[in-house]
Amino acid sequence: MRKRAALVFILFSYFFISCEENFDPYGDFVEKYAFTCILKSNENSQTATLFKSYRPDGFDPLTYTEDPAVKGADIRVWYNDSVFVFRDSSVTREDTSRYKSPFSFYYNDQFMVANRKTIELEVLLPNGRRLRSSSITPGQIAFGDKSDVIIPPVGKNIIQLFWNTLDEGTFFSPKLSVRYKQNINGEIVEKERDIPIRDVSQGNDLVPVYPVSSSSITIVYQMDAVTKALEEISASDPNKGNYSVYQKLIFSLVAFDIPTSRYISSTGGSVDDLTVSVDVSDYTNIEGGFGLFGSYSKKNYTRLRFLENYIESFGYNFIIEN
Amino acid sequence: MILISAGCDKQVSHSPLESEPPQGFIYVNSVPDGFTIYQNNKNTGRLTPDSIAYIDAGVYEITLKKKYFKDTTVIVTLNENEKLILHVDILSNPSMFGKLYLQTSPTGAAVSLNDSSLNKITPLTIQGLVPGEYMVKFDLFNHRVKEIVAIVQSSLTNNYIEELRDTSIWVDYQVLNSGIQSNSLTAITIDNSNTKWIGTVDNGLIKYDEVNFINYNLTNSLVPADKINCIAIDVQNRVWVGTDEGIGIFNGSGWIILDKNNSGLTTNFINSIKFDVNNNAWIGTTANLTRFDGSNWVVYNEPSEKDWINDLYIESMDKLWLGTSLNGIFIFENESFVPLLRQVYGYPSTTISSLAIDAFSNVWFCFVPDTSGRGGVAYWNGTGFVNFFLGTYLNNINHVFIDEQNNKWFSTTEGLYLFDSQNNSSVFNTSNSYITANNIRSSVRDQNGNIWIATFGGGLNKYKPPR
Repeated sequence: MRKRAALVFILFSYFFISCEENFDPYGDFVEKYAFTCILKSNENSQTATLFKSYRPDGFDPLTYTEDPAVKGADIRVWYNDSVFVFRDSSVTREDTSRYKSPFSFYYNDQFMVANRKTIELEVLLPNGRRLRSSSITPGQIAFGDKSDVIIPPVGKNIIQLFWNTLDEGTFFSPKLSVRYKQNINGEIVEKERDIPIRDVSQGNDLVPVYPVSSSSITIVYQMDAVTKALEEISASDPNKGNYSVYQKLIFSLVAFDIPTSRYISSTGGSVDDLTVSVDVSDYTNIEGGFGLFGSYSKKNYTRLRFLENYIESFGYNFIIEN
Repeated sequence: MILISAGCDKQVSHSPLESEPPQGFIYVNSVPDGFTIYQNNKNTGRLTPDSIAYIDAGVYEITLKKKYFKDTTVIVTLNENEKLILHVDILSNPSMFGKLYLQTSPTGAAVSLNDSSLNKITPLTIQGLVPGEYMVKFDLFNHRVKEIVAIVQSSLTNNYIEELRDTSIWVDYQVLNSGIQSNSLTAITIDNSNTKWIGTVDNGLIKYDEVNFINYNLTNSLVPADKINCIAIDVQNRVWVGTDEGIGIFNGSGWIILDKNNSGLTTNFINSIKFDVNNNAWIGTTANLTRFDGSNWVVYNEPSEKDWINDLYIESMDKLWLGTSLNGIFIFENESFVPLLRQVYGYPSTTISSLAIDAFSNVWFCFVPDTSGRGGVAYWNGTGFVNFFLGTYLNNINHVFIDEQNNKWFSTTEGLYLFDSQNNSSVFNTSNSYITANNIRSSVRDQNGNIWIATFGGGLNKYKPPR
């Protein structure tokens, strides 16, 4: 009996000894890098961000307060037989609740991209690691002849616009805006208001729905949404004569290159709230790291105009444009 | 034992460890520096001296490129973690250098290269030049100095054949070839110091002492307006300018402004200013004839208010000749306006732009086309007018200047007409001379006998008549 008890003790001791091991749920920490840069076609100020991964103490990432931005990297973009070097810069951080240091980024203000051009990226990190990527800028957009040209359209209560491009898989971000002048105590202020595609009921309220980025090559605006948006520009002002609406609306269409389109597709986001998180595997086209290197082009459709009597029905003045 | 084995069974996923970046460097230097470094035919965007850092061991084709230079390619082998220094003496290659062949018409111009005289004249071939852009200056007597940017390229001879502008007879001063501030000139006169005073249509008054052009306009002076109608020099060598905003008097350092708000002028539109022997200023305005003796003003209104005076000539204290717009010629004698009607005397038109008197006391008039007739010139010989018609029907005769040799210089929109003392005529225009515009507004002769010509569009011209 004593022998059996001793054997059991030895076995249990062995079991505990042999299985004792520090277990780290993260595994070995490997520093990784996330680079983000979307080149623009409509301005020559190009920006990029570069961050490294970090490991917080514990499970709450917010406890990590050291700025993960990587400074001193050599960032080069090859475009049109030229090489553009991005410079270090920073701006004051508005929200300093987590990171105290200024927000670091890289910029180059010497170029903008045209349609269907190859862009190449190389980032040489201060520790010698390299990130690489390449893409082709979006193809040209052509607006379709079937697109509406007047508001309100004749015989229907929707406004529809069409466009096309040769690049399959391209995502688009459309935006329709009305421009107007407002007389505020004698001072004329130029303003712009975005038009939603429709309004949906939410309880007792009508909530505007704005277009999101998608691969659709058409968009439909409900006339009711246009009318409601126009009413709202003077909602609290009984003097409608203080408002003058421009005849031409601005319909701007942003076309993203394939990597950016894929990123938007995988995250459901848009370029306005574009952020690429370290270690997030939603989408990356950065070799040697994570993130996104892409581009977009922007084109305006300028044929869409208000009819004078429609604008005047709101009590607004009408500004005729050539 | 099964228990033991089962209890220790675990699955842990590990990210693969990344290998350390390569530590190879190629430091690329060149003489001269500033060459773009290409690595395996790809532009690195780096200029020598610079490094290609953190690269793997291997064989690299390093090419150095620079505008106008031939490419230089070097093959290097980089060992693992090696710090390789690549020094390229670009100019050790004789084929890097280029040549310039410089020729001028006419030949014989002295040549300077980047402000260094070569002590050689054209035609000339310069060898062994480092590729790049060179400032080449050609200097030939009686010709305008010409400067060009010449490009030298490796292994090439670049030819530059330049025509030098002959300045032995004509010299032009335009915005693009001199310091003059406007090409659109309206008037010119010369003061007692032989300094030229030039009126412009858009940039005020210009002073030219044959060294510098100094501009007095609304932004840097008190000149009344940027459009100058007429210029006169008084006995104190002060410059009077007539404008559409009154009169400005410039003494070389400060301005006196006379206008309808602070003087006896009844209008600010001043077309002509002349001085009599007693230093009275006689002022032709769009409203009347005005006399100013330095302190007192006298305004003479023509009774029927036909007083749009373009120019005047003072024959004596009691007798002035007046040229008007659309109302012909008046004699102002003993403070009375006496018209010389075109219907009676048959001169070319009723709009007179300029007057002068010649050595034989003939009074010369310039006419511009109007509803009554064509442009032309005429002189009053004491009894009647002798008419001359210059150029086409539409030619505006803008101004007449008569020099000491009794030559009459007529500034017209179709060139500069010259009547010699015998009234034999000739013309200088862009077709038969180096004059830079056909629209001439005014001319004057300086103390050296040169004729200075204010053109509208072609700047200032100097003509050196044969002596």
